[in-house]
This record gives sequence, structure tokens and C-alpha cells, in this order.
Amino acid sequence: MKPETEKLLNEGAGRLLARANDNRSLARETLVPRITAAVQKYLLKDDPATSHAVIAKFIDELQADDLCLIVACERSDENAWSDLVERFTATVRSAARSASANEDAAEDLAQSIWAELYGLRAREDGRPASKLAYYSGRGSLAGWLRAVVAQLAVDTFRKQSKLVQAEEDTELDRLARNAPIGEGQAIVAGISTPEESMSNRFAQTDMQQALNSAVQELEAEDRLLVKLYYFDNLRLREAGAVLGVHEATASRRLTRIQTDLRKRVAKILVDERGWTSNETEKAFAELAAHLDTDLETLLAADLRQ
Amino acid sequence: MKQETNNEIDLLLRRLGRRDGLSTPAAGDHLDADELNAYAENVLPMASRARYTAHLAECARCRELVVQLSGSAGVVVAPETVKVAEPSILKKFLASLFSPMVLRYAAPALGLIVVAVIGLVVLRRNNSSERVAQVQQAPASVTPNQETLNSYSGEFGKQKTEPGAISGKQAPENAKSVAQPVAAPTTATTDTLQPSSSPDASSSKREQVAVASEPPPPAKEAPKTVAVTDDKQQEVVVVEPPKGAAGATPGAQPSANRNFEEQRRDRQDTDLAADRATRGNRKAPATAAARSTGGLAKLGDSEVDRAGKTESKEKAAEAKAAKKDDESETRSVGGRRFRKERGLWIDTAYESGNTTNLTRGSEQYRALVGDEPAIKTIADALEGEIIVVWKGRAYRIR
Repeated sequence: MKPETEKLLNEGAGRLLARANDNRSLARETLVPRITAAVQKYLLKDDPATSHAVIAKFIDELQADDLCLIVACERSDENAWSDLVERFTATVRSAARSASANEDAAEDLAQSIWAELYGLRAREDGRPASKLAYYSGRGSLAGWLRAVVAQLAVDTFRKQSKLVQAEEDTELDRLARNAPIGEGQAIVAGISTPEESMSNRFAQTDMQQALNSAVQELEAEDRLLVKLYYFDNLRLREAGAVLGVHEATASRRLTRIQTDLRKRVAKILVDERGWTSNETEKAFAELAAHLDTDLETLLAADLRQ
Repeated sequence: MKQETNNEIDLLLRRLGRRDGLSTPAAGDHLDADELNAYAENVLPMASRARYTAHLAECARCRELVVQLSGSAGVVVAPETVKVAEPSILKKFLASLFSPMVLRYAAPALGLIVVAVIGLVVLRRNNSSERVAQVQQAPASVTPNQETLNSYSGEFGKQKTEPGAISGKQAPENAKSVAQPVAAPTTATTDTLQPSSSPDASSSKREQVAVASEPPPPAKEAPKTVAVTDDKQQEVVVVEPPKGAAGATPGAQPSANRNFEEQRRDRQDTDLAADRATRGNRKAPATAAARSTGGLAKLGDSEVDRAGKTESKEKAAEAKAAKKDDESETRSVGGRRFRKERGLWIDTAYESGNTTNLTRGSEQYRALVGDEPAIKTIADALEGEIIVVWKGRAYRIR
């Protein structure tokens, strides 16, 4: 790292200690490695030529008190630990309850989190593996603790559900094999000749593949919105919250994406699959009609169940 | 059309979502807790956020965590990014003026201002009508040199009550004659008047003219016409300053308007006196008019000649009214005309009704004269109890 950058980080650490309400009597030197890691992770990794002004601004936006608290805990400051437990026990418990099916599981999860934070679990090299080392101070400490809890809950759940999932997949595969044709497809087949049905299936496949490609070509943020809305079934408000935009903005963006995707799909079908424009338009219309029928059938099936 | 095409894509995407939703694509390195939290709290630098966005678009696991954290962290959602034309500073200022917060106070304040303005207008209208009434009833209520006139009236008042205080420039007799109002009762004047044979008439007249032509005294006090009645000789001496000579006298500022105003006031005085005489139960000597006419005739003065017949008649009527009002005394102070009845000086503008009673030297009195110094002038000039009408209100000062 350049000497100028080091000087900048050193000065930034000094400013951070100065603006902290309780700097836990930390020395500037103890904070510099943590700040350096954060700058490297969030700034220099993406742009090594990040200006000094941006770096200074980044440092000045760090959560001074939270970072000092965590660094003090890492340095085995008992008062800092007391403060951490006192202030964030409720946060950890609340997050654990949200991520757990019952109270016992939540309590176990919370205890696991504190063990992780204390560093009771050792690394492969034998050193304590405290998660405190991963807190950069960029976000709030409470949010970071919730993220730690959520991560641990997901990982624990995935481990526990691996065996169950495998059994479910096997059952689904068996059912799929035994089922003659989907009910929706049967209805479509009922109003079409076998040739037409086969043609529709090819058209659907082409269309679906073209759509897949078109989605992959979208900008990352647009792709994320599509995934959040169509794949994760979030509401626009929730999807907007993830993207940090208003619900109305997310809605307009989604409309634009739909229009963009249709153009892309049509282009792919014409350019790569050799379709004509008329065929493309007709396929869209027929597919939409079939999808409508498909959705209605699925809904009816859901109601029957 | 656009909506329909979007619907087709919408349906396709839903189907794609159902299919892909069943199988979660594996991602390489997941975001750590710090990155997830920083993303959910929307505090990442742009470049790193774009990198994590690309990851989240592919990684269902991290997306799930971010969704969960965004929901629980209360992410500050960026406001609508719709580009609305930025209102100008003026529009902003005007909008701020009409904001509910401002209107909450401005509306009542505006109402108060409107009420105050209406009140002021009504008050001013009353004042102006009152002034008109005063001009009609008691002329010379407003003159350009009000203070000067007031001081004159004050001096004259002192001269009347304290003849000895008059400077040597004026003979006591002249002072008395000057001090006598036009409508001074004959009885009052006869008590103090010197015989007409004492100090020669010409010097007396000259001094009266000098007084009249000095900075213009109030028309009422102006000794334009002084009726001096001698019981023995039964004469009315009418002394009128020459209208043209007043302008020629150094220091005087007469004008045609002023002369006209004086004439008008005199006429009004005459009317007032006549009216009072009509209303009053005192009988005027039947020969008063004849006497005054005779007096005028006797004078034969050049000044009187210039007065003209009309004015002579008015003066005669005025003198007649003054004689009729043999029991009351009338004085003009501070642009107001007062008559004395049973020891009480009553503003001629006062008719009847409630009065605000004040005692000289009281707190209320000091407050009043503090606001209206002219009332103090009047109260100082007139001894005893007075009723003065000021700005539509009647004050009884003891």
C-alpha cells in the first residue's frame, strides 16, 4: 500500500477515535488494520485507484462506537464484553426467534451465536475463530448480528434438511415419472392436434430458452429484481427494499424490464432460431393463451387439494 | 398493446420462476455477514454494491438472507426517483408561505389584520365626518398652525383671567377686548371692560390688527371682530383687521383660502350662536342688532368698509347672539369651542350621552394627555370642570 494511503488510513483512524462517544481507550494503531481491511474489501478491490477523498469519506462513515466496541471485545476488554452482551442480547434472541421454528431452537441458535462471537470454536490452525473479526463497521452492529444469526440459521437448517430434501426429491421424481401428462398440457392437447401440440411444445421450449438468455443479459440490478419478484415471489415493496428503491420505482423498473425482455426474446428467436416476426408474435399470443389455461388449471388443482 | 405484451412476458417469467425456483443454483463464495448487512442497510459503495448485486441475482441463498435482513433492518428506502421539474426558489418560497404550518397562524393573523383595517377605515370615516361636523358647528377646529393657534388661545385665556400678566405692549383694555370671544356675554364683558373713552381707539385698533396679523391665531380667537359693548354708550365696537393688510404684515401668512375659511367659520359661528340663542331660554335684548349695526355705522372705519355688507351682517348677528347668550361664556381652546354653563365648560360638539370621567393629575388623565396632548392644552386653559369631545368620545375632566 502506498505511503500516502497508509497515512490517510492512519489519520482516518484518529478521526474515528475522536468522534466515538466511547473509544474504549483504544490506540490508533489497533484500529488501522481493521479500517485497512474494510477499505480494501469495499473500495480498493473494485477500484484500486480510489481517490483519497473517497477513502476518507468511507472511513468517516464507519460506525465509530460499534467498531470500537468490537475491537475492544477482540482485545478481551471485559467491560466491552459486558456492554456487548447487555446491549445486544435482545437483538440476538429476536433474530434467533425469527429464524427458528420454536423457542428451544431459538435459544440454541442464540447460544451458538454467542459461542461464535466469543471464539470458543477454534480454527483449523488452532486460533480462536471469532466472528467479530468480520465486522467492518460499515453497517450497524445490530444488523451485523442479525446477519450472523440468519447465516447460521440457514446453514444449520440446510445441513439438517439435506437428508429430508433428498427423500422428497426422490418422491417427486417418482410422481413425475408416473404422471402421464400435466393437467394443463392435457387440456391444451385436447384442443390441438398432436402435430400442433408438438409444435407448441417446441415453440414453448424455444421461447423459454430465449427468455432465459434474455434474463441473463439483463443488468445485474434488473436481473436481481426479476429474481426477487418472479423467483422469490416477493412483493414489489419488499423487492424495492432490497434494492433500496421505492415501491413505485420498482414497479416502473419492472414494467421497463418486461418490455425490454419481450424485445430481447423476439430478437433471439428471429436471429438465433430463425423465426419470422409474424411467427414470433403468433407464438407469444398462443403461449400467453396456453399459459393462462395452465395457470387456471394449476389454481383449480390447488383449490382441489 | 404494451400492457398485453408485458402480460405475455409476465406469464412467461412466472413460469420460469416456478421452474427455476425448484432448484437453487449453487453459488461459489457467499457473502459474509458484514457484506450481507451492509447490502441490506444500503451503505455499500457503488462499485462493491454492484458486485454484490450481481452475486445476489444468481445466489438464492444470499438473496434470501438479504431479503430477510432488509425486512428486519428497516432499510431506509430511497425516495421516488421520478424526475420532477425542480420548482424555482420563488415557487418554493410561495409554497412555503401557503404551507399548512404557516397558514395555521397566517389565517387568523390575516383575519385580525382585516378586522383591524376595517376598524381603522370606519374610525377614520367617523373622524372625517366628525371633522365635518366640527367645521360646521365649531369652525377652526383644524388649522395648519394648530399649535400656534393653541398657544395663542392659551395666552388669550391667561390674558382674560389674569389681565395683569399681559405685557406692557398691550394695554389691559386691549387685552380684554382681544381676549373676549366673539360670543362673549355682554355681562361678562361689562364687568371687565373699560369705558370706550379710555385709551384712544386708534391705538387699540392698531394693536388688535397687529395681533391679528401675527402668526394666524385660531379663527375663533382671532380678534377679527371684537364686540365691545359699553353699557353707558350702548355701542358695539367692531374691529376687523383688513384682509389685505394681513398679508402685507411681515411674519403673517394669510391667503385667500384662509380668508375664505375665516369667513366661513364666522358664518358658522353666527349660525351656531343663533341656534343657541334659539334653543336657549335666555332672551336677547331686542335692540342688540340695531346697536351693533349702529356701532358699525358709527365706526365708519375704512377697515369696516372693506368688510362688506354681508360680513357686517354676519358680525352683527354674531354680536346679537353673543348678547343673547348673556349668562353663558364661550371660549375656544385647542381648536375646540366651549361654552360655560353653571361653572362647567362644555364642548359645543358635546350633545349628550355618557362621558368618561377623569380627574386632573390622575393616572388615567396622564395616560390620556400622554396620548392626546391637545386635551392637556384644553384642560390647562380652561379651569374647573370641562367636557371635551375628542375623537368621538366625551371626557369630563375635573
